[in-house]
Parts: sequence; structure tokens; C-alpha cells
Amino acid sequence: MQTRIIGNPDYGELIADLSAGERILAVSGAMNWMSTDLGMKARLMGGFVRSFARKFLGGASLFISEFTAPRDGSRVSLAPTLPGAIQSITLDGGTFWLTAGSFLAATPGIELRTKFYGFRAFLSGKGAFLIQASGKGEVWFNAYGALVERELDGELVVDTGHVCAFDPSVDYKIGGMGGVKQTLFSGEGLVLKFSGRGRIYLQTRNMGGTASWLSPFCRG
Amino acid sequence: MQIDILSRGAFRSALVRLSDGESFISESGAMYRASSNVDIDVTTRTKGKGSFLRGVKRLLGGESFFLSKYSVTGGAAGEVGLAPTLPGEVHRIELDGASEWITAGGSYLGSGGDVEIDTQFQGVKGFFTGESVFFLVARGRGPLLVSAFGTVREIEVDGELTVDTSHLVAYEGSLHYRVGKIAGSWVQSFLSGEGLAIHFTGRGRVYVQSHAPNEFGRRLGPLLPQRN
Amino acid sequence: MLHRIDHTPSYSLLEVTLDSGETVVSDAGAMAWMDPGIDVKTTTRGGILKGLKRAFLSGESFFQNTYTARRSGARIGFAPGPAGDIRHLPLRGELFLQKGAYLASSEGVQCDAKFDGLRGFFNEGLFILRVTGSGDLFFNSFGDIQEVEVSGEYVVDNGYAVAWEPSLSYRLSKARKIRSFLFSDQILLRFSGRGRVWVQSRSPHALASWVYPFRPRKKNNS
Repeated sequence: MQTRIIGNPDYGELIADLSAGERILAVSGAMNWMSTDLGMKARLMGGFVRSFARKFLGGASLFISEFTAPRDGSRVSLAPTLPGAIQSITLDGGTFWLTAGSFLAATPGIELRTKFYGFRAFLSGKGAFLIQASGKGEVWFNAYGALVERELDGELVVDTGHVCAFDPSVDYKIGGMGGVKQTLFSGEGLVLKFSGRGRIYLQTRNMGGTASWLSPFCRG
Repeated sequence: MQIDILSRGAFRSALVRLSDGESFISESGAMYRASSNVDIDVTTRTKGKGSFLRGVKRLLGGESFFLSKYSVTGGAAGEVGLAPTLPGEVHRIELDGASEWITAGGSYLGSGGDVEIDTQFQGVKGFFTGESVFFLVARGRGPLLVSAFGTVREIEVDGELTVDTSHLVAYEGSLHYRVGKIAGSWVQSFLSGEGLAIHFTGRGRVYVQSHAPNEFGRRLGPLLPQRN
Repeated sequence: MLHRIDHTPSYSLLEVTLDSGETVVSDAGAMAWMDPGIDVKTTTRGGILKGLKRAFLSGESFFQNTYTARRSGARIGFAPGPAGDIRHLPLRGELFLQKGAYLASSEGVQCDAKFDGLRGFFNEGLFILRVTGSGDLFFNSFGDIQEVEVSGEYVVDNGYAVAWEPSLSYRLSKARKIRSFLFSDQILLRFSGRGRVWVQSRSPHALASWVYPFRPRKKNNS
């Protein structure tokens, strides 16, 4: 399999060239265009109750598409829903955490599991789960906007909508920004307080912010 | 007539410079800046062949599709800036009088006054979303401007290619196509989140966009205030 | 206050570095990330009446956050809502901003909402923010920003005029376009005089119209 990322940093897109029998997994809906005879099957990401999840994910799906090449020279183009940068990470037995919406694609040796992130996030109505990628292979993830990689050594407070992914070595706590007043009125919603050492990946846009900005222009 | 594609990062827009006597057409509302001597006329008729352009109802929003025609008066040159609705690129296709180009309705940005634009309602309905896609046919000579959500890429088809409907920007009339499902079964297609696909065969060029407007709309819409 | 604007022009992010005791103000919701050691206070910025007026007229958030650093070198990242750019302006006087374009400012800067009616059209006009004072102002755009030096006359669709200097006068006129009521905000600004107007390459009005069919429907009590 040969893969390349094109369109970064504004409109990242993943092109995969597959030989006969090779497979690639992608989040549902990611396919832009492909060789007409490429096989495609829907699979469910493990570890979560389907109907429960669909209700609270604001449209995001837990389904994965599995593409299988029937012959050499098969090609597929994959892109996320929200525009921004794409990056890949290679796992060699370790794990990696991604927020819902950041996962784009993975090679077959990668296992994906969903995990609840915290009761308060759930209450806020946002997609309240994280995706754990583990195994051996490559994982592609995306940002809404620019992708910022930060080597954490200490603490950082991040609005939940701006978190893309992070190393398992990093600790996180979900909470409000300050006292009760802040949580309710400061508009930040919830934040993730990261601590420890490791890499965290942030994005420079978030859907909640885009919706807040656009709302006053919406009529009718 | 001179068309500059202003390109900065993720956004492109077109700046059309017109001389006295020249005209340019765009989807109504695409103009974002202009010199003060530009005359704007809303038209449903295209120049030359006298063919009528019917306002097409986009079933999705009940919006009608109208064109605006820009021309300069008073002798001096003028300029009109045309901007797409979504972030993304603008691409110019030069029509040579021989081939015709079919453009997804939402991707049409503008065209030179001598290019004939016809609506061609395909009646392709998104199977589960009820969305309808309509297409425009562009013929004649002159520039055709298309816009994309994301990047525009040209693919030379020589054989077969399957394109997700929401990623299609435009294609050459020489291509054959068939609308269908993507995966083996409709259930599979639904579950995998892929809607309709267009299967092209033959030889010709296809322009695709890196991101799907309706997917973006479905992600953003539910977060906005309710509507009537 | 030090600042840097990265990832321009597509998905610009503003990072501000504060000295101990220094303050920066932003609308609630703009913070993307921040170092520890920063106190956040939520206010209506100018009192309840001003806040209400701002929110009602321009749709700006009723609440604003004041961030004060407890130690030097604390950084805050501010992210706009739309894809696009951020501009820094050292303000000394006055500037008009499109609603939704205000991102952050230093303490000496005030914001007020203003309504400019369109003659002959009831309830149609332009809601703008009037920013005054002395200090740093950061505003954002939908799309990239083109700075136009007007000397004479220039026309900009109001959805695309993100900021302009008060030295310019403008006349509002309806564009001759066929529109449904949804588009009644589509107004042309005919600028005249001398001054700068910042033009963005995408319009929130156009996006709001486009997204209309995707919005949830109100439940009818019929």
C-alpha cells in the first residue's frame, strides 16, 4: 500500500493506492472518489452501544468503511467532513487517543475502541467519547483548521472542541473553567486540563465556535 | 475581459475586469465587491441563442436559481469580484466551442457573456436525505468559473471512475455516467455513510472537490437556531 | 502584551502572552487553550444595559471574559468561529466592525453596537460594532482579508465588509437581486471618501442562507 497526504494544511486529503487484497479502514462518509471496482463494506467500531451513541453524537457515525482492493492499482481518496490538516502516526503496539471526528483512517492492524470521556461532557450534549487506537500500523487523523502539535511538559487548559488527539502518557481532567459562574456563563463550555508529559494535538477551529459566530446571521 | 483568481490560503475568489461592452454572468448574489460603474441586472435569459433559463427550484431549500449579469457603463473599465459561499478554490475552465461541460449547480460560480448556460435538472435525489442535485450545462466559447468546497482537482478518466455525488464539481460532456450506490447493497451504503455515487465511463475530464458541502451542512445545521 | 498570529490566512489563531497582572478581553467562547496561572472573570463589559444592547442588536455574546495573568509569560490562544484570518490593529480612535468580527482586545478598548437603518425599509439595515479607545484590537474574518485603500468610491456587499475606518462615509442601498425575505440583509455599502476598508472573501450572510435547509425545524403546535 502506498499512501500520500495532499492538500495540507488547508484541505488535507488522503490518497491510498492498494495492491490486490490490501485493505484500508476509514471513518464512514470519508470516500471522495475511488476505482469503480474497489470493494467497500461497512463495519461497526467496537466497544459502544450503537443507538445510545448515535443519539448524542450530533450526526457523527461510529461506522467504519473497509475498502478492499480486488486488483493492483486500486485507488481511493479519503477526506474528513471538516476542512483542515491531516497527519499520520505510526503505532508499534502502543495506543493513541483521538477525539470523535478526528479519526480518519487506519491500516488493518489497528484496533479501534470507543471510550466515554466523562459524565459532564455527556451532559453538555457534545459528542462524549474518545477513540482509542492500538496495535501495529498507521493511523491518520484530522484537524478542523490547522493542526498544532504541542510537546506538553506541565499543564495546559484546552477547550474540549479544540482537542484532536493525544499520547496516552498525558493525563487529562474534564471540568469547567473556573467557579460555577464561569462554567455556566463564560461560554467556554467544558475544558480539558492536561498535565504530564507527552504530545497533544490541537486544532485551531471548533464547530461550536463556528455555530456561535453564524447564529446571529440566521433568520427565519 | 480579464479574470484574476485571487488566491490566499484556503480561499479563492475571482476578480473579473470588464471593458465597455463586455458582460459576465454569475449566480445571483456571488458579487462581493465592485467598482461603482458596474451595472447589475438579474436575468433568466442567456445571450445569443435566446434560450430561456428557467428558474429551477432547488427542492432542498425552495430557492430558485437566478443569474445576475454584470456590464460596465460609461466607457471606463470596471471590475466585479465574485465569491463562492463556502471556503475553497475557484477554477477556470475554458470552453472552446467544441466540448460542453456539466457543472453541479452549487459549483457554478460564473461565466463569460458568450457562454450559454442551461439548467438540466437531473432529478437525482439523495436516497436518504431527500436532497436533490441539479446540474447546469455550459456550451459555447469563453470562461466558465467553478467553485469547490476545498480543493478542485482534475481527474482524467480513461476507463472507469466512481465519484461520491457530493464531491462532484463538473465533468466533460463526452463522459458516460450512471448513478448508483457505492457499496454492494443499499443497506451497506447507508451504514457506511456514503450516499449516491456517479460511475463514469469513457474518456474525459472530471473535476472533484476535496470536501462535501452537504456533510458540512449536516454537521453545522443542528447546532444553529431552529427555523420555521 | 505580546501577540502572534499563526496559521494565516486560512485558520488563523491568535496567541497572546501576558505580563504578570496584565489583562486581555475577549468574547466568551473565543479561548482555545491557555497556560495555567490565568484568572478568568466573566462580565457584561460595560454593564448589563450595554451588554444587552450589544447582544440584541448585533448578536455578539452578552458576556465577555477578562483574562488576567498571575505570572509573566502566561499565554492564551484565541480562535475565531469562522475559517479565515485575524488582523491586529493598534487602535487610536474608532473603527467599525461587522458583527461577529470582534475577537479580542486590550483593556483600553470599548465596544458598542450600532444600527444603521436603510431608508425606506422598516427593520432592515446594518448591525455593526463601533470600537473605540486606545489599545490593541484583534478582529477576524470569514475568508481571507483584502485591505482596500478607498480614494473616491467603492462598493462592497455588506456581508463582505468586515471593518472600515470612520473617515469613510457610506451609503446603503439594496442590491438589485432577487431575494426572499431570508436575504433582506443583503445590502450594498457604497463607500466614499478616503480610508481603509477591510474586505473578506466570504460572507456570513451567504453561508447562513446556504445552511438554512440543514437547520432543525421548530415544532409546530398544531
